[in-house]
Amino acid sequence: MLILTRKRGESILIDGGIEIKITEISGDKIKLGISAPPDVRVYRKELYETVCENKTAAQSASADAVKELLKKLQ
Amino acid sequence: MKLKTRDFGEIEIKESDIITFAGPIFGFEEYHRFAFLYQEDVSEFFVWLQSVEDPQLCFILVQPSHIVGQYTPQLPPEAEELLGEGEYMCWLLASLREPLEQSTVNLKSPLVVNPASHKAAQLLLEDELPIRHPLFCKKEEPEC
Repeated sequence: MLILTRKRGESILIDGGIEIKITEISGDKIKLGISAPPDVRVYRKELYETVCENKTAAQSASADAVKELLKKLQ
Repeated sequence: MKLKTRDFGEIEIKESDIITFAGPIFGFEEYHRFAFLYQEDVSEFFVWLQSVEDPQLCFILVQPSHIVGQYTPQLPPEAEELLGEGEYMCWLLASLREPLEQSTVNLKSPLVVNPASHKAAQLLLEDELPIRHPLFCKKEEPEC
């Protein structure tokens, strides 16, 4: 992993088109400003992981899995 | 009204059994209306969240107290804006896996329901909680 030190107001550029700027630092939180082309999707990681998990939750429940779950619960 | 379900065939529900998602289930933003299907003869801790709009879309939810005992997360400020005033209930989304013992629940992003307003939302918590927590844990494992 590349680790860089930045101060408030400074930025990093990724691939020329994506800019991530440190806009505010307070305690253990920092605010980031992200400028990216419209086709680049930006997610907080936990939101992205929740979307993946929700998709798994919707797909994983095959009839067999549900039957097995019902059996286990009874 | 009649409702086609994924796991229980066609059943009869009341319009008042339907919950509207004021904040989406992430990744399923186009689905808003769901019915809670209680299976009390099976388990009071599990409930089926059946989409009214798509019979094939159904989630299995678990009551947090069944998994982690006390679960009183700090809800984000938008909760009241989305759900209205009232007493909220939290449910966890379960992902069933093969084998079933590897199934998990999402503690980080519960479904929060306000029974009074019939509104719900999936809320992403600030608390450091796992997105994948075992659904079935052995009693001897203290972290469960």
